[in-house]
Amino acid sequence: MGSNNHASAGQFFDMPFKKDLQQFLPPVLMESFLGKVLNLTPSLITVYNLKTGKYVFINKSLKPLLGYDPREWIEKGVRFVTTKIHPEDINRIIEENRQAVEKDKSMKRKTDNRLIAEFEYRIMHANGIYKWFKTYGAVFDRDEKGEILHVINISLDITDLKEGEAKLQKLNEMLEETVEKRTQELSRSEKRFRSLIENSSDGIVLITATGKLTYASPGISGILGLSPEELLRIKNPAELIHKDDRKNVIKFFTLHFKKPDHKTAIRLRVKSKDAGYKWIEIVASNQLKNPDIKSVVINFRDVTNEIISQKRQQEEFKNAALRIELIETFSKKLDFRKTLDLSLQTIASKLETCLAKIWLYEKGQDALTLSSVYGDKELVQDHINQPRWSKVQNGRITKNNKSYLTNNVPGDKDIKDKAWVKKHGIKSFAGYPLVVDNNLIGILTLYSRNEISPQAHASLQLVANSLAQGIGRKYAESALEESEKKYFTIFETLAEGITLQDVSGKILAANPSAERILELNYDEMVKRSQKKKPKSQFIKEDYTPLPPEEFPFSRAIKTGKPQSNITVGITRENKTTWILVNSVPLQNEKGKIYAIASSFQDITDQKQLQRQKDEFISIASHELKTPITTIKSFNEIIKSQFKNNEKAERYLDRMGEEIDRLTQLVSDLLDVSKTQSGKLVFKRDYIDVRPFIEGIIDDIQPTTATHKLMIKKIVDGKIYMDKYRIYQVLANLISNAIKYSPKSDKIFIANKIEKDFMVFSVQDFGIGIFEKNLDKIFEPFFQAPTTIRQSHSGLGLGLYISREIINRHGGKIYVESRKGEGSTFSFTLPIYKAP
Amino acid sequence: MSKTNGRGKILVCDDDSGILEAIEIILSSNDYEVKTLSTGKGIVKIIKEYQPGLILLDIWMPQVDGTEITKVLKQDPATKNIPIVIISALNDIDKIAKTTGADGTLSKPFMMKDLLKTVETKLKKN
Repeated sequence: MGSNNHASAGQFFDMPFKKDLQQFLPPVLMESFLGKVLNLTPSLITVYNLKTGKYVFINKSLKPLLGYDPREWIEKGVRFVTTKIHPEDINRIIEENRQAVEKDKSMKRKTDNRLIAEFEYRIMHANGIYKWFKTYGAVFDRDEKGEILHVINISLDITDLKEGEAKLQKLNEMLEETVEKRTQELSRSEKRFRSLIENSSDGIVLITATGKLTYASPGISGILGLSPEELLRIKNPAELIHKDDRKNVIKFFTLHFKKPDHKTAIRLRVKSKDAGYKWIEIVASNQLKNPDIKSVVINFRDVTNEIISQKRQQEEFKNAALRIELIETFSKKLDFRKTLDLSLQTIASKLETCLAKIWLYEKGQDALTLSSVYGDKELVQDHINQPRWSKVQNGRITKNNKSYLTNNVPGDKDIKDKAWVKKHGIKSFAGYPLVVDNNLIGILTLYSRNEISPQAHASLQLVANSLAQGIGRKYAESALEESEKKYFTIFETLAEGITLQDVSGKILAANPSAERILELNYDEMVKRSQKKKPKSQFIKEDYTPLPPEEFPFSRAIKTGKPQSNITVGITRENKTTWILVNSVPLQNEKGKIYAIASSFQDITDQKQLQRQKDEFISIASHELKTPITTIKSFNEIIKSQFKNNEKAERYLDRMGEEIDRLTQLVSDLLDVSKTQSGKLVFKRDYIDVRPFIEGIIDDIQPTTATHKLMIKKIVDGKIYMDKYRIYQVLANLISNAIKYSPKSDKIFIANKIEKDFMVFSVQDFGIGIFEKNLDKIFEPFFQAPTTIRQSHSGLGLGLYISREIINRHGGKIYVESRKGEGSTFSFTLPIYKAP
Repeated sequence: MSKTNGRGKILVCDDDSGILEAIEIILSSNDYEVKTLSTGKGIVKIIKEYQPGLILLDIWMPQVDGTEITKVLKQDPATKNIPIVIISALNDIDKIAKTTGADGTLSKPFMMKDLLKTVETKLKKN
């Protein structure tokens, strides 16, 4: 061992490796390190270069452990040493070593020197005998790249341990053999135990031919809550059996005792010490003839939970089927009472109840009404004899809105008619609220001669829910039917024509009035609606053709908005029918139009009447104006001849004024008539407002001696308007201003520009207008209801006509006024840029 | 009923005698020669004979309507140059004037000054 080739103990200790060494080194080894007696340890410690396979350090334990000279190993390297490893172990060692190195390579953090491998193997002693060795391999140090440079191996001789293990295994095998042999012997000799084993489960009981219990296994106590000894002490074990099951059990055993080697099973309820009855399954094996046993071997199994869940499943299944049947019943197109009876019959017959009833709240009633009864014939006939009791029960259910179950009807304190209960042997009663959308609509009550289990009760509530839903749906259906009937009747009898068209225009529905007005029967209507060119000609109010794209129907589709009060003429041969149409687009939830509903009324007569009215007014005004013309002319002729007679002139002036008013009244009437029939036509032009306003003032100023018409402010500009009509409006406002300001002496006239409008205003300082009347004064025939009315008689049409004229010009007319302070009337006209 | 005057000859036709009389008084007192007719029957012949410088014509008249008379006169070369002013209480008088070819309108009731102004401007200067 040259100083170049192996590290000394001192060097070793200064290396950072020490810390890691502490982690994996057995404490014993650690101690030897601490004692700086590396070479004194019984363990073999070697350090070798992983790449060259050369040992750089071997401690002095090599010789005593394996008999080799360390110099030989240093000279020949790791490769030599591996040839000494047992052929059965060498491949494994190489592979494990390779994996350990691979693993180290794949690790990201390589700064630490961890234990990388642990091997158990046989290595040949220099004397040729294999020894068991256990070696811990660890990274000793690394190069700059982090790759392993040296590996340190610390090896222990575990030959003794290995031999001990092998011995122990052998001993165990021997022991097992012995045990098996012994077991076989035992089972061969003890047939009784074998029988027990064959049938064994939770609890085992032996019964002799006389019915005496001779043995009970400890498992019994888990089932019955009785220790085997307690059970064996019971004189009459049959008492443990539920009385309803006793008959079956006796029958079971009677049969069983007769058949040797027979195996059968039965389920029964047995009283347990702590918790009522338990369902158990017993499997009995008749071993009476077996000389070793001479008993019936009974195996007990607690099946309470199984039974309960089975029972519940059965109930649930039954009720699910029942509910399906109920749904079917309710979806049949039957009348309400019949459906009710049928559904109750379904419930009652499926549930083994002797009497079932449905109570419902009839429309507008506070008390429950018995709506359906089903059950045993004599009970149905006799149910009338127990109304008082059912009332109490019903009240209990409706009050709490909760189901109710009693399996002790005879003992129920609410039962008044004990005789009735006794007579029919009623044992149980259950009632369920029938609830639809949180509304109690009634209750379902059931009477049974048998017990109703809590499971059945719970799932019956579901049945009641289904019933309630069915009834609720029937209610809704009949409400719908009723409303449908109502609407259909309205649809059929309405004087207005109603049609429903799809978006292509095809008629989907039409009422008799539609047939009458359109003079087409429904089939023809459908046929024509599908053709592109209708036979009838449609015209507008002015008798020009109405193109299809302007039909209210088409406009409703195009705009998606209702089309109101559109007058359409239908011409056929030499006749025109006028209809007033309203079309409404019907949209689905997504807003898509799927149909158009149109209503229309025949306004031919109205139109005729309107025309007659217009004609009458036209003629009347003409005829009125004719004498006025004569009177007016003669008035002026006379006036011209009395030029020097002041009095005569004044009287004639007065007459002239009245003639003018009469003229105004006549033309107002005519204007209103035209306005109302939409015949007010305008002749518009661009008018220079300054000369226009000044002209009006020049015309009106001479007619008043009391007021001075003053231009407050004037803005130049041209307005597109009918100058005669706007003149009419402004003159009307000025003459009103004069009329309604008798104590004042001035009227202000002004105009200004506000955004896209020119505002004209006439301000007076007169009596003003009550606030409540402000919005009424533009209505036809309205007049200020004051004492001065007499002196301002007229038809009250001036402002109404003015409003119509301004509106039709695209402007607005309005008033600001304070009672006693005067009024300012203004109107706006849009400013259009000259084309 | 006619008298000669220097300012010109005017023929007035209206079925209302009151208006006819009033117009006659006004015009003749203003130095016009006036001939009045209370019916449109035979008016064309009379016009051709009388040769007025202006015709004042009512529209609504029994037997022959003013619009018809205007159309006839305006189509006849012998009369088409005589100005016609329609005098009516009808509201759409301007429209009627346009369609018939009349030269002017005067709405009833009218002011004396308006009648005189119309006559003055429309009278055909000989």
